[in-house]
Amino acid sequence: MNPAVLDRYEPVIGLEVHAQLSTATKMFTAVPYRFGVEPNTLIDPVVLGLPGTLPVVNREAVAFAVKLALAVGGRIRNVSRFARKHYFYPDLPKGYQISQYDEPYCEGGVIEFELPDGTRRNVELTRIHMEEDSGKNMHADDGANFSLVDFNRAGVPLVEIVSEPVMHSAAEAVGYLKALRQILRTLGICDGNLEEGSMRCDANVSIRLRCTQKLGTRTEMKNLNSFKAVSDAIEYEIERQAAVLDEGRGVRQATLLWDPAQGQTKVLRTKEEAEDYRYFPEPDLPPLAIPAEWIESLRGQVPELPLALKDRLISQHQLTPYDAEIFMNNLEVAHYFESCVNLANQPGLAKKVANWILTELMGTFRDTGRIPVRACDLAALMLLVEGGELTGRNAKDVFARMLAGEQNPRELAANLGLLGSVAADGELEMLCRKLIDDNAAQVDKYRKGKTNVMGFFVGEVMKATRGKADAAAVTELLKTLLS
Amino acid sequence: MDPCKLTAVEIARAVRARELTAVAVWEAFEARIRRYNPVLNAFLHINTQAASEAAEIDRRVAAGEDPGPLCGVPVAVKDNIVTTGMPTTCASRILEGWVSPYDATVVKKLKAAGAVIAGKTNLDEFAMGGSNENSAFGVVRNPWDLRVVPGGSSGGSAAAVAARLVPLALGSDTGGSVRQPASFCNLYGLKPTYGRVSRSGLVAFASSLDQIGPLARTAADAQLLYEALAGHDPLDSTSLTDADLAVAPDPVVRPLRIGVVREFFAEGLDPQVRAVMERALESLKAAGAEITEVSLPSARFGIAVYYLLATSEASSNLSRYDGVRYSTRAPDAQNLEELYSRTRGQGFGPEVKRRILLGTYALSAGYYDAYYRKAQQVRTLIRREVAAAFETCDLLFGPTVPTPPFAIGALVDDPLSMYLSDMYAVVANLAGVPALSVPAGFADVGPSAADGVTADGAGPPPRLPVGMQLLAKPGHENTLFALSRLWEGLCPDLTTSQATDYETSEVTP
Amino acid sequence: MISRETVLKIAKLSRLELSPEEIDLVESQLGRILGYVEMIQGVDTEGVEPTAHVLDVTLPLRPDVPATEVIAPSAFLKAAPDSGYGFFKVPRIVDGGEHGSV
Repeated sequence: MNPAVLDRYEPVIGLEVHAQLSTATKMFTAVPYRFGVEPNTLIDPVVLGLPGTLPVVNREAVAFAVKLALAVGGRIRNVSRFARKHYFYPDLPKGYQISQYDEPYCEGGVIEFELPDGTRRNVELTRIHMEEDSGKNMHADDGANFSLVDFNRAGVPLVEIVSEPVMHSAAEAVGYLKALRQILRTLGICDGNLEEGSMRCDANVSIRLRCTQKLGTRTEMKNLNSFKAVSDAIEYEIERQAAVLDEGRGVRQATLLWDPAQGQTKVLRTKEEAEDYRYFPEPDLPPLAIPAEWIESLRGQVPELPLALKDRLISQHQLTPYDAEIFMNNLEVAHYFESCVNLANQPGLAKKVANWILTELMGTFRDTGRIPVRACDLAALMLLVEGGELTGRNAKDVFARMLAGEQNPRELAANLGLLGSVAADGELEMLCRKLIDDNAAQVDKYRKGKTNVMGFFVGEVMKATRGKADAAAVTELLKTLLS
Repeated sequence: MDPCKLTAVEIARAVRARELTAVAVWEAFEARIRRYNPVLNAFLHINTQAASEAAEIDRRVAAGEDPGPLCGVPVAVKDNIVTTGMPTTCASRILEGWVSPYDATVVKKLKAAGAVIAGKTNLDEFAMGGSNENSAFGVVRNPWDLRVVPGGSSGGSAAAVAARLVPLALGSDTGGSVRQPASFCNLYGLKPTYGRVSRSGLVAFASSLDQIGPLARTAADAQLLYEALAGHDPLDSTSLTDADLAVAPDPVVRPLRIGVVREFFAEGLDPQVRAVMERALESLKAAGAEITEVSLPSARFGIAVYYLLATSEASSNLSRYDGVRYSTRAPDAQNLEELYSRTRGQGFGPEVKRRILLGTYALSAGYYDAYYRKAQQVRTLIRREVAAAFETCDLLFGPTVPTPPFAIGALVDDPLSMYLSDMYAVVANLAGVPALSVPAGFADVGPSAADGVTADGAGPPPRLPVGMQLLAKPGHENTLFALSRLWEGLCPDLTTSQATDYETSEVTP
Repeated sequence: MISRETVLKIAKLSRLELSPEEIDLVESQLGRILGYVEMIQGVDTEGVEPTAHVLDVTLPLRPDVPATEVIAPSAFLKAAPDSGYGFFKVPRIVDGGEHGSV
């Protein structure tokens, strides 16, 4: 992005995100949905808009939508309405989409996210509403005079999340999207896959001279199929609009399509060509009631959100932001961590547990998607080390066996002969003195300045004690004896 | 006994008692259908499976089972109600030859009640019309006088029952389309409370107004069919549960308080129809009913409100006919826009197109508030006035139609006049209340029927049926039937009189 | 009461191809009808709620369970005016992207 552009103009960005709800059946009829199956197999008379068919609302879709509203703190309407939005297109079976217009189920709300530099931002939402997805058109190769339509996706439940136009950079837009995606996945209501289209983003972009209040004319961009596309498209459009304004022309209000191959936008429709959607209340669906009791029962099902979790891991367990972020992005591991900490029930142990998990377990988790060690077992292992019954070094050997499936660290360590550590007491001192006496040449070298001989001595002590001595204590003791 | 002279109640009883076989019943009616349908054009499709359906009924009866309340009774289904195994065309070229893969809920209920589906009946295209002259497959003739319309849009169903081609038929009523043909054909025609009968499988015209209702020659027959159809359907989110209505088993109050609606006796009412109404009221009063007058001041806006709301919803509901998934398709379309515009332009008839255009206009940007929204507000006023009237009355009364049946061709060029003949009927659809047309008497050949039509001159002029309309509170269909039973006791000749059979050779086109 | 230009615009919005004769007829017929329905403008509806649903019903919600009675999907393609490769076929869509749809 040309910095001169940003000196002169402030970009104003709002995002509209459509998220497919991962319910078992579609929004208005009991047909299941899965991505990527044979075309036109997940259909029924209602999906295809056959004459005489009527919509019946999916309770779980409403529940998912309410949970999203709760997660973002939006105001939920106890009574909301569905509406018909009319236009003609092959992938729209009824010639209208059932959506919500002037009475959406949720208004307001906030999404909090972190930029890469760690600063926090809040983006307010205008509204969230429910609607149904359309089918998919496939455009045949150039030269073919036909297009193909697949209605598998038609009727899948969607929520449309509209942000206020309060973002000012591509980075903010991407940060917002990533946070929204994470919320959807944490709630378990949408898998947030931009490439597959279970989450879709349209960006509204305008620019204005810095220090003016009046919003510029905005364009709407579609077909942003990845975070990179979102970022590239927004930056392109900001620069394009800046060039237009610099030439003394005006930005034309239009809907644009992002072409990732060409790296540019092209006009899909201008404002004059915009369709008149002729919204009116859906007569086949009486008003939707979302009573307070239902909302409260759903509130209990809304888990802790990612950023809240991260903040709590830092404040409650004194983790570093870096470590907390890793846990935030791997919720299963985060929950595992907290289980271990609770089971160990030893103040101050949390950081050590975290370090252990991040160094010894994350690799396995990333490779296999599983945590093969029970939380109670890891807790017990950490307690053995903390209590001085097992050295850190030996604990790793024990843990290697636990990763392979063995349980009960105390028993395991005992069987391996590793249990118990040798304290820096008389016995150890005698051992050290003997070693010094038996290795006069090495002692001489050490006193002459070859401090790395220490490693030889420590190694010998460790061998003699079968690793049960604490290496640091041994080093200190030897230093004292050799000085 | 000739099954075709029996009522549905009698047929069901006889078949269950094995005095008649369902097969014999069907054969008798089928013979009449084949003989007279070429004249009347009531049926678009005759069920080729009916004989085996009837045989199955007989087998079950013989095995000691009870197939249901409509045991062995042939029932005709208006061709805007979907059926598997037979086409559903809505009397439109755009659905010509289309066979639905699913059955309407009411069709499933008919089968579950032991009925034999006779076939699909003709109608005004997509249920839009009041004369059955808007069918893509020809007009339907009134069995009482072949030069005259049977009414619409359920003209085929009404003609079929009036000519005794079937004892019962289903129609649909959005702005009088069951009641007006009932009135024109001397039948009982019920529009149930909105939501009482499932709309799943009824090809939608105006979603907030449509209801399926029975057409029959006697009150008991109408009630028999109604009760087989009514009930909550999980496939229809606007259908009512009993809890929604909280109706007591026999809520009929005696004496019946009948409110005569002043606005139904104002300008535009034919004097012969008025005379029939006045005689009817005399009889009811003599029989002990309390007659009062009520006013529904906003009823005079009924047609305006109806034709804005119904066309708006219709323009939306008919958007799905685009040539992509199931309708006929314009063969010469070069691109998508032509696919849509030509398929629809060629596939829809003029009345349907007219209504789609009007409805699209009423919903369009800049006009929505003045037309659609305003109409919904006036609708609220009408509903309130109807509810207020029911505080002092059990039934509201008036003619079903302002005129006697009119000649085929008389109003075809004047859509607005055609619309005005719905003026008494639309109130019930707008308010969602149940309404029944009851045979009330006859008019001689009236002015509109005589226009431009040369009579033979021989014999007395044909009598043309005139119906009276009763409205009841939501859920109070029983009160309507109670009044009908009372009325039948007073005028037994009225409902048992039958249209004369016309042989094919007698038709003068 | 309604201009020819408006009739054409509405016809396009409704995707109805009208012949020149039809346009003339519609212009006069719709004009008359609109003239008639104008009467509602005179009705005092101050503070009156538009009818949402004619009887007081709340929206029923169904459980998120697939239906047991299923129609074989192949039946739908067979009824299509034009199909191929398992898809419904239409004349080539020119804009090459999402039109107003999500």
